[in-house]
Amino acid sequence: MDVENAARNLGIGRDELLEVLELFLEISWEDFLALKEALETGDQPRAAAAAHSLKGAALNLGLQELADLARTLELAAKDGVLLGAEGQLEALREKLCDLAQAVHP
Amino acid sequence: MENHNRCEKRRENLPRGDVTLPSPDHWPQLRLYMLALSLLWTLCICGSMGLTMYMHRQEILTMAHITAEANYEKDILYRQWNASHGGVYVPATPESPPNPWLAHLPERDVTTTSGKKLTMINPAYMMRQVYARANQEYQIRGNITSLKPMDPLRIPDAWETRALQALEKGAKEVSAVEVLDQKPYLRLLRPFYVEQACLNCHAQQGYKVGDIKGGISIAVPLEPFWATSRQEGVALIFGHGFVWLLGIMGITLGGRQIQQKVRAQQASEQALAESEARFRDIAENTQEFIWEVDPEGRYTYANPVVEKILGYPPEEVLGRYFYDFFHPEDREALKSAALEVFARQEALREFSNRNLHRDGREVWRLTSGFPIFDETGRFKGYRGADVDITASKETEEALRKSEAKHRLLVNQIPAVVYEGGLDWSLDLFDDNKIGALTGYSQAEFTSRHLRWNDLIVPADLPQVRAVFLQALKGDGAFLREYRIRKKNGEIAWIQDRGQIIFDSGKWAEKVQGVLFDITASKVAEEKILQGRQELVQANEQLEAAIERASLLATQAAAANLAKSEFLARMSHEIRTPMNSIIGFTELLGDTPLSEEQVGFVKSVKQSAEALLSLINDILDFSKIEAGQLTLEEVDFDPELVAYEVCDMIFARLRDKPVELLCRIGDQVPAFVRGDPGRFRQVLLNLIGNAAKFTAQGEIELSLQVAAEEASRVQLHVSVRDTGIGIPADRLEQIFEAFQQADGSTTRQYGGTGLGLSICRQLAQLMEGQVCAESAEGRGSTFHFTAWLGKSAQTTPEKRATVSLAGKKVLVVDDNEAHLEILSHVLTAAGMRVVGLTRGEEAVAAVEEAWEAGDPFHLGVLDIRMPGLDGYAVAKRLRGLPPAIPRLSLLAYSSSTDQNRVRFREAGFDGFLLKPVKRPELLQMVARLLQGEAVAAETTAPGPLLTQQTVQEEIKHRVRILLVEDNPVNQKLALLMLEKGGYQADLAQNGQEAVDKYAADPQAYDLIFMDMQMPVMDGLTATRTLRERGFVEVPIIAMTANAMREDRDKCLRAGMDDYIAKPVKREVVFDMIQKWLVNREENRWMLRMRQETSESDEMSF
Repeated sequence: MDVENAARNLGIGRDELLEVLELFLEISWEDFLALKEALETGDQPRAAAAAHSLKGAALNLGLQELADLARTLELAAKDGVLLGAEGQLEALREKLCDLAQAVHP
Repeated sequence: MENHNRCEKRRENLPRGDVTLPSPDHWPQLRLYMLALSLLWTLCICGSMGLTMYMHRQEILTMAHITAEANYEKDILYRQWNASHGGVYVPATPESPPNPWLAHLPERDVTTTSGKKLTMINPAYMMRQVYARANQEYQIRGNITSLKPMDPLRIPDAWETRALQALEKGAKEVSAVEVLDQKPYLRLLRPFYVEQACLNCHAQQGYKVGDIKGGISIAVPLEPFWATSRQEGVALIFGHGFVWLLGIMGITLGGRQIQQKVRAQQASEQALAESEARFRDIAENTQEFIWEVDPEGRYTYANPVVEKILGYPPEEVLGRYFYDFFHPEDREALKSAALEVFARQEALREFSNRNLHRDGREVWRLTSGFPIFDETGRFKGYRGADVDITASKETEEALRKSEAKHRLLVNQIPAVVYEGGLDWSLDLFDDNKIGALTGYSQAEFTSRHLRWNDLIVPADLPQVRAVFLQALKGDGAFLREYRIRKKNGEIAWIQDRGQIIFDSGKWAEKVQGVLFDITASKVAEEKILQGRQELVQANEQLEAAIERASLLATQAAAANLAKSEFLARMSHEIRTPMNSIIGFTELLGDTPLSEEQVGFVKSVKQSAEALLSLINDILDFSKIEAGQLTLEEVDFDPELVAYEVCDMIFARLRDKPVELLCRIGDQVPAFVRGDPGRFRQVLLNLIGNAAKFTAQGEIELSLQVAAEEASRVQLHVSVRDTGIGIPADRLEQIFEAFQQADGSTTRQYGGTGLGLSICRQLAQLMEGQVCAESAEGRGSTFHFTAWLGKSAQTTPEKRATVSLAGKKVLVVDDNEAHLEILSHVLTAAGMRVVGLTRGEEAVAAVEEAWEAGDPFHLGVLDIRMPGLDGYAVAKRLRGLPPAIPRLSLLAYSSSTDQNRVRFREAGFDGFLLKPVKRPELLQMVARLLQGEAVAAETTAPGPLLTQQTVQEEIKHRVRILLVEDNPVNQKLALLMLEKGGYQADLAQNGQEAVDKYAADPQAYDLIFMDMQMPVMDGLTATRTLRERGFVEVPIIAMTANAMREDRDKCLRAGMDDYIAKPVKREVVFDMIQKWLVNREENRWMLRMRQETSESDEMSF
């Protein structure tokens, strides 16, 4: 991702954005793990909450794809339809890793 | 005490009041007594009976004896008869066979002629036969017996033997009661004397006449006797028994009687005891002193109360005369009075007497008593009771005194109390008073048949009557004031307060009231009225004078105003050309010049600057003189001012070998509150002087904190130089206007001589001082102290320095010269300048530039322009569509019209007054551009920047409360807001938000509220806040749902607006602008108005 652009869009400095991204990564990784666990144990509320948190953060940072994935997972958790959730989770994980890479090249 | 014990004893002996039955002390005695008596009686009776019976018995025995005797004698007689006959012949029957013992007699048996056999019955035989018959018939036994009987049947039995023996011994007879055949007999044995006749037959035995031949024992059966006796005995017994019974009854009765008597006596004793006890109780427990005296008056009884009353216990009182206790002073009188009564044996009725208590104090007694007589009617003395009335006497006394006092007081009241009939014939005057009041005495009233109303001055009568009538109709109370004519013709004013007394039938009965002589007060009233009149007059005069004075004041003010206006206008008039001079001189300086020219330019510049400085000084001076100088109160950084001043001076010192040092104390706060401009002015002056008068060496500017108080801090600035110094005698003088240390220095060094005096005055305005110390030739140190307020602001504003390079600026000024100068200055600073001389062109230029993709960053507008003036241009520029990035607008005006509100309204961000020095202008531009850089896409303007605020930011601190739970979002938002120059606080959830806000509602101007959060979500938090009364603060929802229902939900919960997530910076700032700027502007307006109303402040 283009940190510079993103930073400009958000109206903050590049370094600041990086800081935020780091924080985001930290937190969303936690969320991700929680989501994974919750899905495995079938704890729907927890899964939905984790996904929601992920979504919110990603959305604000302009990480649209991440946000979409998270949103899908959130809905799935709420509906209780966990089919294909694994795939989504995997995609999410990939995206997070990509981001991490971009932040710490 | 002894008495007491005695009393106790007595008490013990007597039963107390409630004893019912007498104690059985006596009963055993009585019973015993009765028993004894009964016993005795019984004994007596028994004795009597016994005796009687004995005597009876004896009688019986005697009778038996007599019977026996009779029998004996009869026997003897018959024997004698027999004997006399020499025996008697009876038919010999088997029952009376011939007596063997007479066998010796020849003629014992005879036969009758008829042939009956007869036998001789000798006396003995006859006796025997008779005895046998007697025994048979009458059970009387007889026996002739002797100790030597011929007939063995004649053997005496035991008793007879004994008796016979007794006879032989000489006893004449023997009698005894003997039991024969189990029956009692009285046996009598009498001797049987030999008689002649007997010898007929018994001579053989050798008896002689008179010998005892034996005895005749007669046994009389006692039974019949006993029977009779028994009968009699029974009767006796009955009789005795009866008598005994009677006796016993009598005894019993007697005993009972005694019992009763005893009981009665006991009862009466008890009654007596009770009454005694009652009496004692009363006597001892009463408060009254109960006493008895003998006819002479000596106490024979006194109850214990006497000790209380008189202090003497009863035993000491007894025997004393009652009048012994009287108070010595009264004794004789009381004694004779009492004895008189005594003599008459009358009752003593409530005789009060004064006595002396044992301990010396006076006690009053009220004595009552009545005479007592013994049973013969003889006068025995008195008996009665005393009460201690000391207390009531004292009360009486007190009352009397009080009454007297009151009477005295009442008498002092100069009022006459009256009572009178409805015809106003008054009585109950205090004679003295009525005399004083009217001149007539009471007597005169009566003798002259005066009525009160007669005294009233006729003119007042109607009113008097009217009031009275009114009172009659009402409750009867009236108050009137009227005049009376006194006896001596004088008029007096009377105040008449009265009350009509109605009788039970609601008819007026009489009048009661009080009359006051109020002549004096009436007179006083009049005087007061008079005085008031005079006052009013005086007042009017005063008012006229005041008017005149205010007129004068107005005139003076007007004159002042005129003067100020003159000054202002003058300043403007002078400055305008000054501006040119300075500006062009500077421009000239930038052109290639020869050395000589450079020198000339320098001179011109110097002169111009000096002149400008002079003008400023003069203006300041005159302002201060006029008292029109007021200090601003804003937050500023003193350190910064110091540095700036140093910077400014540095340029001047470039040519000289003088080192400039700037020393800032550690304690100097980052911000203080005061007038930075004036502060700088003083500093600049001092340092300027130092720089002026120092050729070589150093100049040190030191800024320290000298003192600190709760709300303010004293700064101490010292400027030390190594210059020429000031002579000691001039040290004070230099602070005077137009004085310089040395007149010659003016020429050499320039200067108006006003600077220091202005500094001093400014310092004084700041509650400080300016003073100097110096050593001639060595240098001087100037000290400047000032009290500055403590600033709440602690965090220094971030001042990102923005480079001016490449920024595009539009300058609009109708004055071409100015335009040139300005353009040059700005261009020299690296900016791109576009200059216009007409305001109308401004808007177009801006638009064009924007369209061309090269927008302006800053606009510098002159105010006074023909055609469209600076305000209008500014307004227009502000009116441009928001797509066009906002210009920072600087009003660059030489007008004294510094209506900040107007600048603000027009849309300016700052203003400067011409002429302004280049560095300052550039600073301002930089400031404005910085603001612009931050607020590029927003319309959040900072406050109007003035010269004073060039160095600092007086940016309103917009405090935002961000309520968001996601850490990433938090960070992002915070960063965003910080970039915008806004301070934001964080709350993790709705609850925290509510708590934080409620804790300090003034701290936050805006709330950004996320929707979904743990603990308390956004809607609930909003509702809570609104419910708690925080209705003003704008709450902006940050919602991911941009749908209508959600928006409605937000609005209904009390939110003011919403932004969609993800949040975009522009939107955020728009919101802030929308919800805060307007409000802020209002606040600013208010402030502006306040400031401008204070003065027509001019700043340089």
